[in-house]
Amino acid sequence: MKDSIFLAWRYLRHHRAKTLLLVLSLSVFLGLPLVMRAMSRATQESLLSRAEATPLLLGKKGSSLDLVVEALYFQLKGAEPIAEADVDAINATELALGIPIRTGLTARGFPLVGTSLDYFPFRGLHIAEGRGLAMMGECVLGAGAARGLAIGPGDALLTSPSTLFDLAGVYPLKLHVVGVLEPTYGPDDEAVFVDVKTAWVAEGLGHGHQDLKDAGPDLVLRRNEGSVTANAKLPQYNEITESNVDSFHFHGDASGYPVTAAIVVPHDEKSGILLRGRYVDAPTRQLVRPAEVVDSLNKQIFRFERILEIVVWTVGLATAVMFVLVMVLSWRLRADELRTMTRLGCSRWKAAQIMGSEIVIMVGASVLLAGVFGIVMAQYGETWLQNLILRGS
Amino acid sequence: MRIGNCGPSGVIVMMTTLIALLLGCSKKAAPDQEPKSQHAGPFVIYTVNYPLSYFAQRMAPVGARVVFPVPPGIDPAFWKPTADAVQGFQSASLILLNGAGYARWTRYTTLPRTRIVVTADGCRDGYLHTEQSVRHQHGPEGEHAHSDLACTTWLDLRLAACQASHVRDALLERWPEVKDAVSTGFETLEQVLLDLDARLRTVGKVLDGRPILASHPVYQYLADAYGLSVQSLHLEPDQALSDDDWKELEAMLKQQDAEWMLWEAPPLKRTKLGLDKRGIAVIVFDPAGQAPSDGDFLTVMQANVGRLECAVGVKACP
Amino acid sequence: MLGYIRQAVISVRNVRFQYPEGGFSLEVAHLTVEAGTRAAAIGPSGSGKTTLLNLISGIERPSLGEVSTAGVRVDRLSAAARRSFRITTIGFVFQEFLLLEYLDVLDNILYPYRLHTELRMNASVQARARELASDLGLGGLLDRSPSELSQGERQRVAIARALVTAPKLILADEPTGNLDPATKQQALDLLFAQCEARSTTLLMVTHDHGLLDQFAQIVDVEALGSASV
Repeated sequence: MKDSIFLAWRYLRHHRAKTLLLVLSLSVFLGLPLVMRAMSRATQESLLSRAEATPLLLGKKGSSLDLVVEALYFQLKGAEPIAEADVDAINATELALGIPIRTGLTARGFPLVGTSLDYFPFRGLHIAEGRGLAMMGECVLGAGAARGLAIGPGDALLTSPSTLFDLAGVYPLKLHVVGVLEPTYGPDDEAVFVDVKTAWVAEGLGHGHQDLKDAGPDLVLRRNEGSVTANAKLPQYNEITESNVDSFHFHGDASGYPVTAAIVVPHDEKSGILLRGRYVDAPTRQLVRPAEVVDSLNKQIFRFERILEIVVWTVGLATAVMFVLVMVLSWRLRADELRTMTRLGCSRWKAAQIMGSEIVIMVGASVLLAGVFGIVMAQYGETWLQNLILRGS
Repeated sequence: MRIGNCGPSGVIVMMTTLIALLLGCSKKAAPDQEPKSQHAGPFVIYTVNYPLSYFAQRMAPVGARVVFPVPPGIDPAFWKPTADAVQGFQSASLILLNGAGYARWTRYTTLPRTRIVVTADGCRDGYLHTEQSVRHQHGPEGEHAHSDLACTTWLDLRLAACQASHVRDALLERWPEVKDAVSTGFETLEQVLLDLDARLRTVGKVLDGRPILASHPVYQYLADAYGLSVQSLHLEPDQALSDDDWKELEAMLKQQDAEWMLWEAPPLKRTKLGLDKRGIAVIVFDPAGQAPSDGDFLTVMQANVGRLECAVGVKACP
Repeated sequence: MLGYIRQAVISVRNVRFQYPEGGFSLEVAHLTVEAGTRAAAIGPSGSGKTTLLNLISGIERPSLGEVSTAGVRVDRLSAAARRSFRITTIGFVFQEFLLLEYLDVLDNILYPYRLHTELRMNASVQARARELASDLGLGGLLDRSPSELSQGERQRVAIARALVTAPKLILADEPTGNLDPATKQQALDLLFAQCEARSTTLLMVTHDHGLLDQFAQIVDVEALGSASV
């Protein structure tokens, strides 16, 4: 047996390219359906677990799926915002905790999430490096965002303009990184967290500038008693620092400022039921259970997955047939070798053992490679698949 | 080592090792990993000014810790905390804010909303505005002003009692097992505050709208609650008045002849002399926003009210 | 006084053979090759030279007659016994060399040991293979692939492979057919020397009549019997 394996190995090693091609084909055939199923299951479970961990979600009336996808997974879907007053209203009921979520902007490709301090203990997020948010203008990075941007506490990060050519729009805001979170292997890892007020400033709803009482004539259009009108030259700060933070302000009533959604955490089951009852007939608001929304999405995925499996198995079968064909043709081309073996006294069984060993080695390598492929996909593919599903939802 | 030079057994060993390593790198946290507590330890109350700190200390039972982190000599309304100080607030079991825009820093810091109590909210129908604020306009938003709310709400002693009641409510909500101690502490405090309130009402009646000057625009709630007609300047007790200051003062006196001037602390001797020349008596009325070097909030307010009573003739001066 | 009578290594009597699918058939009346003899088998194409070698080695079995090789009646052995006999008794050298490109020179020489469980490859076998290679001038080429060797070197590897099992008989089918004249004689000299050193009988099929004077016995296959298609 040892000799058969030796000869088989030497043959395969000599014909590296062919061997590699066959092994790769087989490993895909063996691994892909299993990996797909495992990844799909894991992704669905991951989506569902995050949704189940979020009792209720308050948003503008409309697509509940868009609301959930944007507020829970930070995929921009353009969900219509509600107001900060809605969050205050939830807190005022004393039935639940309301946590604002403001999305819409990004910082170097990572979603900018404006929220309150309550978000962090709610999601079980802990600081791995640095500290948590304390002042406006600060940000805390998810573990994946920190790794992807290769920055950490003490570094700066610019928000991205909402549109590339919006020259008259909002300037990027320079954020100060104060902390990095421990990894949670979920959407929070890829986010840049800021206080919701900072998100508003980044959107241009708040700003800071020098005190107009002392402004020079080149910046002032008109100065009356008790009233100063500045011109467009007045520079606005694009960074919130200790020295200028006092100057940052918001116009109008902050309770009217937008939030994408409010995570609603009822104090108990009865409170949750009461709250849901209050929003049943709300004309412009919806209070949804994310778990129900995601469960419905998962059912769609499951249907699609079944179809995809059939396709994959069919292709896999074709791959197996091709593999057999290649082996048969290969042995035919090695007729001289087989004749030599016979003339040298090799039995048919031994010849079969040698040829069979080649198949066993290749199948074995394919199984191992499929295993490695499966583990790698299990480590990294779930996030990729999850993003693919959410972007396409 | 080239894979090509290894025998099949060598490759199998390498692949198995690779798989074992990958499996060994545990991707997910153990499902039973407990989240870390953010509020372990005793009940800690953080406040933004001295009056609230005093109220909390009067009512909080043994074991609670009241923290007022503003350093002495700094006006708490304009204190700018460091990130460490903000994190101290974040760690509190209860954060007592004043309301009426007091402590500007709370606007731009991140505090845990569920642990905040704005003590003056709901104690009166709307807050008072300052007399002077520069409105400005830039861009399409129109005119607007900044920091135009008067914030020394506790100088209306009835309002102060209301704030104290909100402190009591917050303590009872979070610490219901110490209801008796908290309630008793509040009741004795409230009684003293209402007594002071009654005395100030008498002062107001005696004054009957006669004008009083004030060195600083911090007495809005005192004036409004007790019917005092107060005109404010911007003077510091430890700084001499400039010629412009005296001119402004005299212009005010021309409009309304005032006999008294409220000061947050005793002014300089020459300031007092100048005021005496102009027929203005100094009344020290410490707003008690910061902790006194001597005594406490109630002793300071008792002294304030006593001086007022003395000045206007409600009671004999000691 | 009787001379030393050498035992016949090959003895073929009244053999008749026909391929199962019909066509070619061979009849051999009588053939004897004594031990240690260097014999050449000649005959025109289609005369049955290769078939004769197949009968002697036990690859084919005659329908009639006796084939005795190294004292063993191979015509009476089962297929498995003939295989076993073949590997332990006979060495083959082929015209096309039939080396395996995916094995190096040493592994090609030791190839027979990989094909049969009866042959145990141990340290002494490996040492013998290296010595054989050295004798054939292949000492510095053991880790090379056959594709890196010249024709002459490849033939020497084929010779070494044939001799590594210490066979009693070497059957060579046109072993120098693909070599140039200089290399051809060099290969033959090496083959003859190795056979003589080991007292191994050699029966070599050749078309080259110019080589016949180097052989002690000439077997004219056509004259042995009849071959027909």
